[in-house]
Amino acid sequence: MDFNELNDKIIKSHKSFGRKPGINTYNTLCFNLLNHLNTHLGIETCYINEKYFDDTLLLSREKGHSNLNNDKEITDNCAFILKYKSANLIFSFGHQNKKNLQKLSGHICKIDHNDYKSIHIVIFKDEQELNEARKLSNANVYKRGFFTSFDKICTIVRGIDKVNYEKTFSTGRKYISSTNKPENIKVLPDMIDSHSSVVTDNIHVGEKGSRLYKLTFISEDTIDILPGQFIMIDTLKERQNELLKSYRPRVIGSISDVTPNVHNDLGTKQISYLKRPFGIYRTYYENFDNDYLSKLNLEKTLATILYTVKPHKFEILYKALEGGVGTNELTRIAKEDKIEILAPLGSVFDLRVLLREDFDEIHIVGGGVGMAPLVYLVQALRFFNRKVKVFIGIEKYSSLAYNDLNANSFTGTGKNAKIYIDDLKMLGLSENSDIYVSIQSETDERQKPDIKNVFMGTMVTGPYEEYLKDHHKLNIITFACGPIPMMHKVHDITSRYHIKSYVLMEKRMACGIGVCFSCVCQTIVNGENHNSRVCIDGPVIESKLINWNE
Amino acid sequence: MNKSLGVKIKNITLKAPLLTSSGTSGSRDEINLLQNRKQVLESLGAFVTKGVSIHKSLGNPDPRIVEVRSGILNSIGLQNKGVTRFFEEDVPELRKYGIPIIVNISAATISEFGELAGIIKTKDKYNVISGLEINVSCPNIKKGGAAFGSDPVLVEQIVKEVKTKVKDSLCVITKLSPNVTDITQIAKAAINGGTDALSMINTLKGMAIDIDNMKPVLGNQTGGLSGPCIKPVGLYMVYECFRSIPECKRKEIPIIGIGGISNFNDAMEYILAGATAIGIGTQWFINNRIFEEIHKGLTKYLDKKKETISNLIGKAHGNK
Ligand SMILES: Cc1cc2nc3c(=O)[nH]c(=O)nc-3n(C[C@H](O)[C@H](O)[C@H](O)COP(=O)(O)OP(=O)(O)OC[C@H]3O[C@@H](n4cnc5c(N)ncnc54)[C@H](O)[C@@H]3O)c2cc1C
Ligand SMILES: Cc1cc2nc3c(=O)[nH]c(=O)nc-3n(C[C@H](O)[C@H](O)[C@H](O)COP(=O)(O)O)c2cc1C
Ligand code: FES
Repeated sequence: MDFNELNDKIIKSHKSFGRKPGINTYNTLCFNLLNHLNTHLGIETCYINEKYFDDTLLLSREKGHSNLNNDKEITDNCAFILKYKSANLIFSFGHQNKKNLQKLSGHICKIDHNDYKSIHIVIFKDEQELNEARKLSNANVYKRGFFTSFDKICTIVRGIDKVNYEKTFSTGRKYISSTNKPENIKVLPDMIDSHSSVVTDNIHVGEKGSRLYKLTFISEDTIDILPGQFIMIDTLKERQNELLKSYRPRVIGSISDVTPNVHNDLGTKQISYLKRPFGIYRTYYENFDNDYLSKLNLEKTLATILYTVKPHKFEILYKALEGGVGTNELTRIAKEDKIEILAPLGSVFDLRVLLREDFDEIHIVGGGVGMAPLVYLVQALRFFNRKVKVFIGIEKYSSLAYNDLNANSFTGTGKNAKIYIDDLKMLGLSENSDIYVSIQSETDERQKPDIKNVFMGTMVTGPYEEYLKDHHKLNIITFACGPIPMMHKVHDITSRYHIKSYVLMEKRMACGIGVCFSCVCQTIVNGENHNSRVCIDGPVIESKLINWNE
Repeated sequence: MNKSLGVKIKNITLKAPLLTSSGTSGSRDEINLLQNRKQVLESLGAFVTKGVSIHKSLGNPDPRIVEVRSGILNSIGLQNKGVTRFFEEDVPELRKYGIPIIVNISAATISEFGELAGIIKTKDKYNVISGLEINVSCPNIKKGGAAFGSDPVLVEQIVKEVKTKVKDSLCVITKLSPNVTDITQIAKAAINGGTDALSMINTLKGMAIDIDNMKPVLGNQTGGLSGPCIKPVGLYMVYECFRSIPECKRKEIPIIGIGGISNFNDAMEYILAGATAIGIGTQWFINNRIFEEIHKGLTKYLDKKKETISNLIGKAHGNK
């Protein structure tokens, strides 16, 4: 069938799009659109469930074969199966019977064990349905499911194969909802709110005397925090005490009015008044194993339009500053204590849009605790199946080791876990070729790192510069976070090689939502000096916009 | 809408006696980023913008904020993009809030105050703006940076200058500084200058020193103190103005009470001391539900006492 003929038919049936009689035409259109990608992305059609399609409109038929073709539970309930490398992508539509979809998801999980070689992808009609599906309450409906939407499929097909995209649609488009919405690369925080969260862990990291802690919490509501965004935490646990909460209005400033015990405990010490900003170190998704990203192998372009449920558990890594009021209060928080957080905060660059450009390598350069928010960025980049090289600068190797005795945090390794390193390995990075550790102290013999690329007595920027000398011809993008001089150096190095780089800035904050102007950093935009608010214009800022000589 | 909460500041009708306080709620559409944006706008009687000046100002050096016991010190330095861009970029957004907008203005000379007021009056084609709040705590460049706010003669001149430019088209509010010997003297000067209302207090001068590097913490060395720790001071100043200034006592010149208000209780105290409405500043940084909470608290209180806000303004004075 040629395109004109196809179009005619689609237009005719699309007049009833969204209603029962035309639903197979819509399904067929989705399939046809995805089909345009197949040759570009190395994907093969293995199975088509004819009852969901309008046979006469299908642009192509099965080409390959999947081992699942004999699994009746799957072939009966799914719409079609695609194959990418050795992975089966089992598609169904959001408008199918929800009970059946739930059964299908459950079955796929069961036969797959934890290999992520068979994954379930549900196509929803639009952004709104997609967001609905991502709610925490759906974690066990679409168990370990991936979601996308018709709009998103349109976006990538348009980007990759405009000619066929236009042909498939030409006049039919007006019967389909918003597919030409421009994509914004900059994402402002949305729906900022305070959330009550329960702490599941707050453990000390590193050898005795180290000031690093890892705090994990579960939120009662669905929150989406993107890599690079941050949260603000009320660090004083007494303020969350139920008794005090009912008095809360009276005790915001001084707890002493109400509980003499607290007064004795804190004495004349200063207690925090403002919330404190922290980046996200890791997020966890229900039913997805901690190391799933080392196994999952999504096709890169397809991955930019795939979503899972929203995270239910968050982890921050923080340093208790010497004399720091808020961070030391945070260390007093115990398992099962409640904390109040304000989230999500900060504008970031939408990775899904940014990654439409195919970078050869994505570089992460982290100095000290500045590495913390970058680990979450790596997590996202690994979801999108990108090649990531991480450069870490630390003072001593021993400061990374800790006994994760509860073994219920991300690494789950129990004893001798190593912060950053083990987490990155879990995300699928290789200790031999993807992780480069610079250790400031010359001699740190007590604990030899088990990583191949270790540099003693140097700052992180030294080895990074060396690496770029050999690799700058690649198409690279760099993200850095750490002390200002370090980020400045990274900016100098990357701009020398014309590599686009972003930094995650840190400034003292009061409100976190852009209203107080206390968190500014000097920037130069179009030759004009600005004081940009890190909390809302950042914290992710393109390094060339920053006035490094302030 | 609850009628018993409604008050008037001259010709501005407030559905509730709650205002944002200048410099603490932005000047654009930041509230729209919040999940509870609807509730915030429903609880607010009016929105007061961050200080606007004629020219763009980059503000003070970093760090600009330091936490102290039960409060903060800030030295933002009136960073803003200038009145022209304020009208181009921010006013169209503010218009969508659908509540009265009061623009806080700052300038470095008396004539600049007048000029700025004139610009705002002419640029406000769609009548988005209901009032001007004169920030007399700005540094006076003719007097080496000392604030205008401590000199009654200057305050009277500024108010006159602004009032001449805007006549009765905009409600003129004078925001007083607490860094003075006798706040009632300054309040009287503002009234003589023709102000329609008073707001008080701005921040108290203060500082913090880092004993490790032995230097002031703030980039600007000194800053302004705000938050719960200043509430007794602000409350006293409202009380004192209401008590000793006949125009205030007769409620001809309404007072907007500001300073450390952190909950419904604080808000009610200010009203009983003589405030017609109250402004919330620093607490907004800490609690994004503060306006709803106070709104709810006031409603409950009025129900219980079978009263209206208007009846309770300055009530604490009648008890002796
Ligand atoms: C966007 C962002 C993300 C951050 N992510 C992390 C993280 O993942 N892990 C981590 O350990 N730290 C992080 N920080 C730094 C962390 O917020 C500070 O270490 C913390 O606020 C210090 O609080 P304190 O009360 O212990 O120190 P104090 O010195 O007692 O704090 C006094 C005031 O200074 C501010 N302050 C002091 N140092 C800093 C700083 N370096 N950055 C910002 N504000 C500061 C505090 O907020 C407070 O207002 C982040 C900061 C920002 C802005
Ligand atoms: C960060 C910050 C910025 C401020 N900016 C202004 C301003 O631009 N103009 C002004 O008149 N007052 C300004 N103020 C003063 C507040 O409006 C308010 O008068 C003061 O903070 C006391 O109230 P509070 O304790 O509720 O914050 C600012 C206060 C803070 C904390
Ligand atoms: S923290 Fe208030 S503007 Fe950034």
